[in-house]
Amino acid sequence: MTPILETQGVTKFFGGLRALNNVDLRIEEGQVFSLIGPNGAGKTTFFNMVTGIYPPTAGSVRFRGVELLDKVRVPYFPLVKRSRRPFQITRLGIGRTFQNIRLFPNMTALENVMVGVDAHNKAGVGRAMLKTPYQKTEELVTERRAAELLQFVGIGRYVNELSKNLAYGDQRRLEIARALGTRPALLLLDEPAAGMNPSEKASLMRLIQRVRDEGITIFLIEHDMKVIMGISDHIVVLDFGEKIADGTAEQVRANPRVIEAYLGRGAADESGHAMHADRDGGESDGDP
Amino acid sequence: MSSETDGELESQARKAQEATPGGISEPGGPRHERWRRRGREFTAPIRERMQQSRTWYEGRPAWAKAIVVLGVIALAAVVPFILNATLGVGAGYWEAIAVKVGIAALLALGLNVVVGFAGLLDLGYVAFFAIGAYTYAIASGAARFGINTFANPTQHFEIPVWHMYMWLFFFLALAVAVGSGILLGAPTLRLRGDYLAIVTLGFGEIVRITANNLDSVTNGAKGINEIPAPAIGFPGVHYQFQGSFQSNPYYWLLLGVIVVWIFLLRRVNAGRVGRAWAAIREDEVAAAAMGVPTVRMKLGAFAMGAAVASFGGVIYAMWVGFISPDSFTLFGSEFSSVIILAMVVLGGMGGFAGPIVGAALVVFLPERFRSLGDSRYLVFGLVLVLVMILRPQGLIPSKRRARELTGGELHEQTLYEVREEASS
Repeated sequence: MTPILETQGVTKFFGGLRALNNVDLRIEEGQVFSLIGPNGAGKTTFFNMVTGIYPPTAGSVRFRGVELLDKVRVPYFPLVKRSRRPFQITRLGIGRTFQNIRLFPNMTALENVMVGVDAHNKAGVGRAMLKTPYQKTEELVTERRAAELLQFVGIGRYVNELSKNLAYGDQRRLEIARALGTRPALLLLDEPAAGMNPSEKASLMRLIQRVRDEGITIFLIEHDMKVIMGISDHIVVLDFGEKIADGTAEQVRANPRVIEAYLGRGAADESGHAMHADRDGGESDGDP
Repeated sequence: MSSETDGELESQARKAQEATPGGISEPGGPRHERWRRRGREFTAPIRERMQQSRTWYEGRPAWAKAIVVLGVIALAAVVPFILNATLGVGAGYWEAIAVKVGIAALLALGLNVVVGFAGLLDLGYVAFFAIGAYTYAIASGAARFGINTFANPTQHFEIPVWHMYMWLFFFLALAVAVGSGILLGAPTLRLRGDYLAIVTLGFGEIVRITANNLDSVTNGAKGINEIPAPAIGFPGVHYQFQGSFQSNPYYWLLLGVIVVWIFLLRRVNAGRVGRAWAAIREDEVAAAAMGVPTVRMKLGAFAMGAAVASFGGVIYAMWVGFISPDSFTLFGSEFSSVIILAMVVLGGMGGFAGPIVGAALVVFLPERFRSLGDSRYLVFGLVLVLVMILRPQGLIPSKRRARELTGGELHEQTLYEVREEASS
């Protein structure tokens, strides 16, 4: 079976800084796949490259067997080819959320999600001007679908609330709903639990599992070890742009290089203690 | 040393207390804040009234809304009669002003698509107006042949047949303007903010300078004179439009065009494209990540704006009968890029009533106070500054734009909430 996302030798330089070096990943369909690592390890850079915000210096990213970095034809210009724009990658089936929430603050929750659902809509200026039956149906379906998604992530009662007025945790949920609106096969979540309290985190984990149960593969960046270890099927650890571990939660936890990266060289020597520290106090993980 | 500074601080604190009766905790704030508040208190009754009528209107059923809208259109349609009845012989002058208001309103509506809906700053908008006007002037043959059809109307017992078909030049002008809008937009709309503003500014100048120097086509700085007017020539209905000494038909033509454009633009703005524009305005990166084809949507806004402006240009050329590059400047001519932008900003971005009210005020007030001479522009500038301080969102903003520009503070927010409660 072809993996839903497969990268080979992804390398990214920002000037002389090597943000990522030869990263190979393989995400199977239906997994919750986590990418972890200390701050500055290159996790968000990796997301941005998958979603087409900027291209890698070298390497290949394949989504369901389709090479994302290949140049594609430009509509109406048969001779021109260029790399895929972010909106084209979204339409292929990769949805994402952002590390620092990027909702449309002055639009209502419903409108926010409708923008996402619009990704596959066809009616443009002409059909809107004529208000064809097709366009009317599409609008209706879009609105209904958006309302459903708000219900699904558990903020159905805020349909007409401006997104900037929502509570922090609800804004995170709204971002997930908006990304789900684009009908993704692969959902990229960039630190969804950041800034949440333990009970919010727990309910977020349940939400992520429910999304997974809908048949959507989850690709997660997270600092919080409790969240990661609880729901991940597969974990990859990045440090200074290099992949240092790859495996299940148990395997990664036992990996001395991971412990070294998170807790320092001394801790790696007494890995047994470090493991316990890891399990008890997840908070210290993110910022070495 | 230290005791001295302490004393100073104390005296300062005392002064502060004297300045704000009731102590430091009194919510006086900096002076400009206080002035702002005073201004807002002064205008509160007006705003309340506006809000009331808006709430009232929104609560009506669809048929009642339709009646209100038709009533407003009818009222606008009888303006020439009112002018005639009240001013008598002097009405012609104000009828011409009414046509200018109409053209300005059309342009402001078009620019509002670019600036208000999609959030792109366009400082060269007059270029599309110029393209519309020149397309009509050149296509109607005035530039080459110098046809004069209305200088002596009695000469023409029959309307030249092709004057009927001149209406088609509306669509020609539309095509040319949209084409040039896409031509300009395709490479430049990847730019953002200030950079885009500079590029559009350059485009406006390029169009004007081209018109100035392309003698063989545009007759250069001399301009195109004696542009023929169209005619209506159905069996039983014959009418030859005249020049600017018979303004009323143009006024009604403009009214019709504006109504149709508002009707179409509203539909576009309510649908997928309108949502995409709002999303781009709020956060372009997030919009792209949600599958919004940002460049294409911005091009769409540009093209729509260009289309509206080209209609204004055609009607302007028909009405005035003479155009030259000096009619289409960045600043200084009657309908220059900056003045149109001022209309949109003053009236309020993102809606439909706002740009029209802004256009009406910006055209009407300088005429009304013509007796002040050139100092009336000083007053105009002052009024603009005051409006921007007291009401940055413009006189009649759209709901969403009001939220953005007041940052959700003060009364707009509270009224919004009240309305939400009332509707639920």
